[in-house]
Amino acid sequence: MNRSKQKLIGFGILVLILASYTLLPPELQQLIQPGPGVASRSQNNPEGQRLNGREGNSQQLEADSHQSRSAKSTQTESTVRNPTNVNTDGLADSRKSEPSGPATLASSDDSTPQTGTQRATQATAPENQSTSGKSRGPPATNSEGKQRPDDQQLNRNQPATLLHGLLHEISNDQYLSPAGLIYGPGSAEGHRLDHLQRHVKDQPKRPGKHGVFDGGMQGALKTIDDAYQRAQKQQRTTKTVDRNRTIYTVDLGKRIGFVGGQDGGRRRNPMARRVRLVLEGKRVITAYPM
Amino acid sequence: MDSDTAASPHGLVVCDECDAIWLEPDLNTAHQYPDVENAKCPVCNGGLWGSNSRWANRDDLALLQWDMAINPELDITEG
Repeated sequence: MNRSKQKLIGFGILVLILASYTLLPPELQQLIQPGPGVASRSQNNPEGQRLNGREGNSQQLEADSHQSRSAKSTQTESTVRNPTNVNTDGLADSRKSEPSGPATLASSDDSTPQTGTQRATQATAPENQSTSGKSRGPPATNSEGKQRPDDQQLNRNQPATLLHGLLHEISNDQYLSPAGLIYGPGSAEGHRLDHLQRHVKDQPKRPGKHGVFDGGMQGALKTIDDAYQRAQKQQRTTKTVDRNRTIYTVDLGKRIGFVGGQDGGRRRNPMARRVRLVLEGKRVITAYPM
Repeated sequence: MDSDTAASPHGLVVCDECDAIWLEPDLNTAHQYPDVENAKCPVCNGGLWGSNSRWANRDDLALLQWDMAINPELDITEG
């Protein structure tokens, strides 16, 4: 009897222990029993392997994309066209916020939840994995992943044909500035840009004054564009119309060059902050500081 | 100076900044502008910047009897 009682009590205690264990929250269950924790870690291992596998895949894709940049641009095109692709949105955001620097890189790094979406989009757009895989990689890979779409954007928007970093060649020997001015053939030098070139360097022996722009050709072109934009808004501008020519004198309110030539030399080359701009329509005839 | 026809060289006053053209050595007379891209001599219709025209020298101006209009202060003293 005693034995059977003891067995019953023991069984009751066991039942109580089991019942109280099952009533415990799962976190406490894991603390008490390390076994299931190991099991869950081992369950996570396949996930890690899958990630590694994905990383391997992404590396492979990256290597592939290294081999063919044109294919990569097609990939980006396709992702941009796919509005349901969350990865594309992430890329677009990182592209948009790229000028803000390292903080953006960090936010891009933090965009790991995208991987969840990646899996969902894997079947429909497997090409996206290479780009998104890169965004999860180390910073160097990250920056690569971010630069490539930008490179493509630059290639589209700023082709290598930009003259002096600003001018689009719109037809043979005709160049369009960002503000809409046209530089074409003409003048004693043969081209208006060749004439303008005279005004980025002093000619100390030239009789009278010779206006010289600061900043070389690019500086001159930027200043002329700035002057033209101000002239259109009639900001500190005097305007003369002579037949089909329009002559603007625009005060830019800051140094934009200096007065050279014999006169300028005699006066120790005073700074110039005005621009004389001679146009025929939007065609530049000449421009110089004064 | 345009020497398009050797028999009748003729002179023009041309602004080297804006291409304005005077037919006489007097800037108070009417000026004209050539075509922006295809500038031609208003006298002979030859290319203004072509191989048959060049900047005049003192002898040319004497030949044209324009030497009285020379302003010595505007001389370029080449080194």
